[in-house]
Amino acid sequence: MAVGFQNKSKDGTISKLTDLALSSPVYLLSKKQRMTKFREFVAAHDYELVGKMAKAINGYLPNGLLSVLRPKVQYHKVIYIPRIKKTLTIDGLKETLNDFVVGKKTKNSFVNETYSEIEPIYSSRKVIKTIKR
Amino acid sequence: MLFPKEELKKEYINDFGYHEETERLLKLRIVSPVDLEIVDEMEKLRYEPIRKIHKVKAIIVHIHGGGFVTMSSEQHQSYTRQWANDVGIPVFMISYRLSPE
Repeated sequence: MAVGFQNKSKDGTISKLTDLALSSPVYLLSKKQRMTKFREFVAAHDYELVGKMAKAINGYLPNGLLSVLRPKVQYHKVIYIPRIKKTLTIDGLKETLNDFVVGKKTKNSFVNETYSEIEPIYSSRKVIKTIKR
Repeated sequence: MLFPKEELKKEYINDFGYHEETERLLKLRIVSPVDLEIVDEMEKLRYEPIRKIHKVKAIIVHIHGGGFVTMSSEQHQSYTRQWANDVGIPVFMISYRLSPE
């Protein structure tokens, strides 16, 4: 992270990442200087660089390295399945919530029996009083 | 074993990787110690007298962690492959969408 701040002036992302990899052992030698650099980086951080670093750590670097060490399997395949259920939307949720409003008669008798008694009645009269000094 | 063919992928996914009806497909990674084949019900009737079709009796469904932000099914292959080899059961790994997507 500290080295990332140091290489902020460079344009190419590849050069930034390579510098990160090469100059990270320097941290052990000059710890104080690097820590100050790190604090500066935290104070004024570069979002794009951080995102690229996170992607590199999570994504392609371990995938490339670990692909050799993975145990072999006879069958490996990636398939795509279409979704059956529809995605949730706010309008759809509102429609479902209308059935559960207190005092409203719904088509389903089951809903009235169960939820009308359990649900608390909300009132607008309740006001939180604050103490004035 | 029944699952959609590879042709489905071409039909459903556009150039941008999205479904035509704005519904994205669910990605599944299969890792198994035995070869799996696509067998329709009609094909099953046709091939059963010629050769035996072994049914898969159990599967392991694996959903990876990562707070819905990081990780993928690729990175969790190191131990799921070992499961499949040790237990002798295919592992179905679901790779869902992450938060920025």
